[in-house]
This record gives sequence, structure tokens and C-alpha cells, in this order.
Amino acid sequence: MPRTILHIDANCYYAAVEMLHHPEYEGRPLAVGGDPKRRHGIILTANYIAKRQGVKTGSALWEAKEACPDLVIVPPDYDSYLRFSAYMREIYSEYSDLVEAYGLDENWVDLTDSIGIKGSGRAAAEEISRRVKQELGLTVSIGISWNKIFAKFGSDYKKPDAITEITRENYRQIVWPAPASDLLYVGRSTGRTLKKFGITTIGETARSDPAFLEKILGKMGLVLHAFANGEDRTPVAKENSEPPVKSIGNGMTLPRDLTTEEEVKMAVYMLSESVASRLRKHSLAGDVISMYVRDNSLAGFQKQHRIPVPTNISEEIAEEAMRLFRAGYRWDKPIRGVGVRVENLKEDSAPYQTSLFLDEAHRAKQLACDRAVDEIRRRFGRESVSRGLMYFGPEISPIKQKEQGIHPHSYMERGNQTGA
Amino acid sequence: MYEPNPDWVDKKLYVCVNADFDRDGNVRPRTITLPETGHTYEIDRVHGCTRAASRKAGGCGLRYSVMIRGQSAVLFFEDTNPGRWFVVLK
Repeated sequence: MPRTILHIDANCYYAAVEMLHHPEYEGRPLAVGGDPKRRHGIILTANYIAKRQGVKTGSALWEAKEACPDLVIVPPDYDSYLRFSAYMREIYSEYSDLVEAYGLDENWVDLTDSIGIKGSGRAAAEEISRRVKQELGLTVSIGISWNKIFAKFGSDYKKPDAITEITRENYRQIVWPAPASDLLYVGRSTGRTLKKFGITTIGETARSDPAFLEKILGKMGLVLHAFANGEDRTPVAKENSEPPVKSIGNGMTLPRDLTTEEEVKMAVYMLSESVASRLRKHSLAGDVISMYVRDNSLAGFQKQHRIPVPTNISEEIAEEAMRLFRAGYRWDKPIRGVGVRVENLKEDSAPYQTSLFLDEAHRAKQLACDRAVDEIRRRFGRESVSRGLMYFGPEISPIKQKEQGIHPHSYMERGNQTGA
Repeated sequence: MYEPNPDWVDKKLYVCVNADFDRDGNVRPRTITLPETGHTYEIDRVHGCTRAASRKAGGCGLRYSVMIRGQSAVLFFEDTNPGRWFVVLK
């Protein structure tokens, strides 16, 4: 039975929520941007007036001001974005129990089993669009199709405040002429590879020999072939079903550029402590440590390494991250951002093969020490106890990572279900 | 950096509200008190309550259309934390 799937995308989401709360800025170009003093100085979203004047998501605040001098920049208010996101999902959940979020502002809704109630996907989409506008003051663009990939394509096809239906009859006319990069998972590098072989549109991807795509892109080639032909069968996940945690990480943009290893060490320890503490909170431990660095031209490197036994000890994570850093970074440029991540997670009580070269008694002490620090911080606040190392540069203070959980999840974190 | 439009007049006025809560969680606002003047107004009737956004005042929440001294008025409960009530000025 063919499915009916909506992909609903809130237009200029952060900016739209701010416009609603600030009617005094009506008719003016508005953007939501990070705090320039903290140097999270980029545009997160802009409204359509600002976009028309050349304000781009991701550009620096000063660049945006240059393109559009009377731009109103408001700082982000994640609490209200989370709140409105929940309101939107509340509305969608009245139409189906299969509502899957993709970031804060995008959702797939599977109407296959409830289609009889509203008559058609389009009728339901029109009603949802009207309700979101009336009840929340936001506009959405909606794509309707028989698979998630084309539904998402449809919601991007026409915006704002539009509904696009992609059917088995029209997908060759609507989807196929679009550039291959409009397909989910075709990023810069994949796009380049495809282009090298003369594949520039989704249609050309669809008509290519899957075996050939596999040869140039690996398994991803088969997945893209299925995507392009509308053969993706990935289901829309049930509401509130949390995928298993695959990794825990933390990153930050620093208030000023780092130029010495000592400073990097401070940042890495800070991040490792928070990552380790979150691992312990979830009773997890992991044995793949990864570290990334972004320099002040926003280029960067990421390295990961497998350690002999799973860990959730701050010291071990930080030491490994520093080792990766020393081995990988050449100090061509000062550093603007640092991140630490632990992957390949297991329950921390799961048995593991110890190593002759590890002092387990020492590890147990370190863990007990970490737990004691967790407890002190829980009772007396984060600042109540910290490593001596942190006194060398108090201005590199930890920045609360409020955005946690806001980033879109990976499309295939529940596994590749395209059939490829 | 955050200069508002000079022609814009604030349409949103947060007010004090007395309300009855029934066992099912239904809320019936009884009086509103304007914080500036201290005047209290009886809410004679509640015509309806729907979830809505107010483009004019800026914000969204539960929108109560009410009658006060024979005049229709709009009262919002903004369900933030903490939740607040506001009236939309004409």
C-alpha cells in the first residue's frame, strides 16, 4: 500500500518565532545571531526580508550588517524555540502517532493509516498549515509524497507557506531536474564525485547504473540510487521514541583564539570533564575517543582513536584527546573551537578485557575521584571545584552548551532502511 | 543593535488575573487588574478559549475572548514558565 508522508518545515524558524514576539520589528529585516561578545558571532536564521537583502545563514554578524545595514539582530532564545517546537508537534500528533522530528523545525508525519479521516494528504496538510498559522503565528511549507525523501524535497521545493505534492506521476518532472545536491546526504564531497562522472541532477543519479554508483561512492551509492528513484522505505519513527545514544560529545567556540598548547589543554580538560560526567550519568563508557579542532579560518581536523578499554574517566579521555591533538595539529593558525567526543558506547558495568599495562587500582581511584567531583558540583555548583590548570586562563570559561539536542539527528541513525 | 520601529506602539499589557480552576483543569478568569492604575475589572462573560497567536501584541497562548463592562476584549494566557496573562490593547 502506498504511504502518505508529510514533511513539514517551519519557515525561517528562529526568525519567525522572534518576529512573533517582537511585532515592533514588523516589516524590517531581522536575523537571529549568536552573541558577538562570546564570538558565537554568526547568523543562525534570517527572515525573508533580510534574506532578500543578502543576509545568509552562517555568515558573520559583521558581514550580515555590511550586506544589510539596518538589519535587526536579536540573540537566540532557545527556550522559546523548544517550546514552539513542542507546540508544533502537538498539532501534528493530532493527525498521526508517527511524528518524527528532524531538528527543531522539521517533522515527518506518516498519515497512511489516518488518511481516511481527512480524505487526502493535501486536505490534512492544508488544515495543519492553517492551524499552525492561527495557533502559533508561524508559516510552514509542506511536502507530500509516498516516501520520506521526496516529502522532504517537496517541503524545500516551494516556500514559505506552500504545499507541494510529489506523486508517482509528477516526480520525474519535479524532482529529477533538480541538482543532485538537493538530495539528502549529497554533500559537497559526494556532489563533487558525482559531478566528476557527469552526474549533476537527481534524475541522472536515478538513471545511473546502481552498480556504477556503488563503485564510485560505496554503499552510499546504492542508497542514493534508491533515494533518487523514490524507493526509500525508511519508516517514520513513532512519537517520542528515542534512538539509542551512539556517542556523547561536547564542543565549544572559545571567547578568544588559543595560541598555546597549555590553553588547548585547559579547554580539552573542561570538555572531557563534562563528557565524562554525562557518560557516568547515563552509566555508559566508550572506547573510541575523537577530538576536533577548528582554527580561526573555520577549517579544522578531526581525529579519532580506539583505546584499549572503555572509559568514562575525565583524565583518560582528556589525555587521549590531547595525544590526538599533539599528533595532528601543526599550529598553522590559532584555534577558535575545540570538541571532544566518546563513541562506541557500552554500559559501564559491562565486562571488558583488562590490559596488563593498565593499573586498574589507579583507574578505580580516578573514577572515585570523578564521582566525588560530580557530587560536589551537584551540591555546590559547577564552579565550586575545578582543576588547578583552569587558573591559568580564567577567561576561557566553560560556555553552557544550551543547544544540546537541537541539532538534527542523522537520517540513518536507526540504521539504513532504504533497502540498499 | 535592537532599535525598535519608532512608529510602533506596545499593544501588549501584562495584567494580574484572578481565576477559577475547576477539577478538570478548565480555567475561568474572573477579574483583571491593571498594574499601572490598580483598577480591577470584572469579566462578565467568557465567549471562548482557543489556542492562538497574536500578531498584534506579539506572542501566543490560550486566547480568551471576554466581555468586560459590555465591551469585548481579548485576554491571553501565555503558557511560558512562569505563565503570564496579557491583554491586547486596541
